[in-house]
Amino acid sequence: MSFDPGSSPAPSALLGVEACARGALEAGARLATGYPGTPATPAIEYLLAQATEHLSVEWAVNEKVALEVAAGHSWAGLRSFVALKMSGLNVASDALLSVATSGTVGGLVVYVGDDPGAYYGMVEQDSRLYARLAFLPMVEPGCEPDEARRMTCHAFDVSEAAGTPVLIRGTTTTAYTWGPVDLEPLERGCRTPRVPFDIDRYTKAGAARCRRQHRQALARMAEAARLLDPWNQEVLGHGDLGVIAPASVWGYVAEAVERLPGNERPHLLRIAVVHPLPEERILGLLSRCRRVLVVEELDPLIEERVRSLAAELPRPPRILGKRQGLTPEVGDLDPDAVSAALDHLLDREPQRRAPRRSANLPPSLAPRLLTFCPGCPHRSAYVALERAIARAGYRKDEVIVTGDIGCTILGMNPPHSLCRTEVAMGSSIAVAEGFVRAGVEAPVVAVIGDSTFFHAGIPPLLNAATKNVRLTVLVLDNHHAAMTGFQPSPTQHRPIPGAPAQPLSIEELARAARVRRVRKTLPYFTRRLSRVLATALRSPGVQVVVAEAPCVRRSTARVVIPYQVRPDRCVGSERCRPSCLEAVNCPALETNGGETEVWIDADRCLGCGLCAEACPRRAIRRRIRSRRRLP
Amino acid sequence: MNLDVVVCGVGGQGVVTLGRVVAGAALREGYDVRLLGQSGLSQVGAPVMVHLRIGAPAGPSPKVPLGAADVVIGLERMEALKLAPYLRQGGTALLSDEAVRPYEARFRPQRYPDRQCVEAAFSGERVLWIPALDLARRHGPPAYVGAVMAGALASVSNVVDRDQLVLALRAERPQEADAEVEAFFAGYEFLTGADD
Ligand SMILES: Cc1ncc(C[n+]2csc(CCOP(=O)(O)OP(=O)(O)O)c2C)c(N)n1
Repeated sequence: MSFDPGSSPAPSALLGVEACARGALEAGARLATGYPGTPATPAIEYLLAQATEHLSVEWAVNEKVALEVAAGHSWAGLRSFVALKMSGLNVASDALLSVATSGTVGGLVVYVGDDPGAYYGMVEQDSRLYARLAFLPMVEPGCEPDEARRMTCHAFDVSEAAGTPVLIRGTTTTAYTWGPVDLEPLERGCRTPRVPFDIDRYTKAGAARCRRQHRQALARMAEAARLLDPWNQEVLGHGDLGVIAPASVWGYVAEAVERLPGNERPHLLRIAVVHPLPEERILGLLSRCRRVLVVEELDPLIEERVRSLAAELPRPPRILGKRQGLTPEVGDLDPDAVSAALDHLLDREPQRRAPRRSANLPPSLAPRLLTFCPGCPHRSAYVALERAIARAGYRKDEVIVTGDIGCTILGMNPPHSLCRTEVAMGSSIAVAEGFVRAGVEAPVVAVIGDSTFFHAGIPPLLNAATKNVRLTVLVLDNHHAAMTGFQPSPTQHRPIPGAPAQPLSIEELARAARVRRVRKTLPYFTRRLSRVLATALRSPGVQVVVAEAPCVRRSTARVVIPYQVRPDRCVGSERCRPSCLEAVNCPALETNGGETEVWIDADRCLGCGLCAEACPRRAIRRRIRSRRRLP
Repeated sequence: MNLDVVVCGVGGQGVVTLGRVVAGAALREGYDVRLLGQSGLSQVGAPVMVHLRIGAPAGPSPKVPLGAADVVIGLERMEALKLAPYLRQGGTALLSDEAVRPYEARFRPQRYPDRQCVEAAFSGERVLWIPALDLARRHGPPAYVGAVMAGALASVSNVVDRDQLVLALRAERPQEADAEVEAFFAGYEFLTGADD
């Protein structure tokens, strides 16, 4: 291949989820909002990086607020885009059902990211069910980012033409597949806002009004489905076997079909409009086949609909899928799972190209439990909490600690092993109240991150405060939603993209809620923090302790003075109890596995000093000579 | 020509960046590319896996089928075990010997695989060990292991041109530039033994 290095401009390529955001930009969206959550996060991040004067992009305080802001914006006639993860759609769902029955004026497109396989550790939720619940059209792109871009752009036109919000469903795989896209110019038409006065459409009091809105929503959904229908696609094959699959898993089906000889290839239907389903096309395929395999991830939604449609035919074909155990209901799919199902149906020898080796790590190996990054303020805070528990006169297992979403939950893993529960955003505080209500005598502590606190932690704090429950709330304020990629939280005061115009204070909020005692300290001052926490554990009423230090991965510190182990003093983690490894488990501490001494990776150490504090032999010292500048 | 690659390691090693560099180079050469990277969690130390498909067109599935990868690249010794089922017969495994031990394995060495254990998992296919961390440190921070392994890839496959990889590396991380390119060549030369 000939080329001229340096002269060829790199073609554009985007993640699938970024391509959807690009589609929104090209469609002339004037507002993009959302709340971070994998795999939807890169949509808003992409738009923040594109900053144009025509588009305002923001992180909302939570997903419900994001959707409501977008609804108002689109009712004023302007196009709006929302991106959230499936858990976020749960949070926004109350508003979603209401907005859906009122419809839209300016196009309103909501991107929701599901996570089959639970790669990011939440519930394996199938958000296609929301489309059904809310009478909304839902489309999903496959693994070609350019299709995602064009589809989103079209979704805006359809949303306006049919007057309904349109849902776009991504999955971890379609969202995080990066590939080439063609960029088209942005739509720059200017619209002035006009807020309609139409209480029949925008209010809900009155049964007749609600029933009318319900009927209208169904009609709008049908119209949108008609307009979106060209995204669905048939491919004729041979024989009497058919395969139906939604676009999100199409790549696996195509891969598996490619392995078959031409004359054995089944008839195919690729469904992009996953709600409402393209019944005409499904019936068309069914009429050609004796057996139809439905391939989809998570719930057998298409499979069940196809089965009930088949029952209407005079000679119904057999519908095969999860019901027969041909594909799993749990976890994500891959090309081999689809191949196995097809081979089974076609009575073929398995088409594997290599001897099967196990994909699972043998259980004899240690599991890779997540831990905090070197220098993370959360680690210091948990170490301080452990000391506070001892200082207050309790054993570690007596005090009950509830955890919350985010990096803060890593306090569940060793060596801290403190957090016992994780429910949903903000739940640590209410679950803790539940334990107190149940009559637990020992102190109960809720640990929550700043972004999570603002998202859904305020109502449970108010609940506990109004009842004066004996409860300690430890807020780990690192100014970011760290776990999802360091998006600014409402406490962020540096002017980074997406940061609040007006940073908020957790202490002021807590004081306004008449919390008994509010304290704030730097987590790196572990002695001070453990004193403050110990007092809180012993005190009645709601106690709020804020441990505030910016996420180390976004710290502005530019020079690091790492620590060093003095080999003459270190006796090795084997003979040392409790060793630095057991006490802090920092990834910058290195060992060969017990026999020899411990050493510190100077490139990874960020100089928090927690290990030096924990070392019973004072063998860990600062190493001024190896000070290092950060990029 | 097609090239299917699976890369894995742990967060902080630059697994996704390595995928982006190779994918970017392939795009510049006019190939169709699909890169599936699980890049959602930000912690240092979380397992990361990337699937890369290069071709004209690239394979339709964003995930490389089992037994179909021409090259697998492991940046961490234990995670490398997950690559074994992906490697095709006659393919090559490029493995860095870096060990990022989970908590328990720090106390119990037998709970962490040694080289033989990893090699056995690849049941006789070609396994090349690369001292990527050492080579990276010679030129900069540990995060250069990705560049070292990209260099190693260039020495075993010419589907993506070496010079395009260098350009893509510069484009992906413009602020690093020269030192990182040196790390790339350190990986390249480690396997070729040449210094052209
Ligand atoms: C309803 C909902 N929205 C979004 C998420 C995704 N999410 C997981 S962790 C996290 C950030 C938490 O940030 P913070 O509370 O500040 O803790 P940190 O990670 O910074 O320690 C988010 C937004 C979720 N799990 N549920």
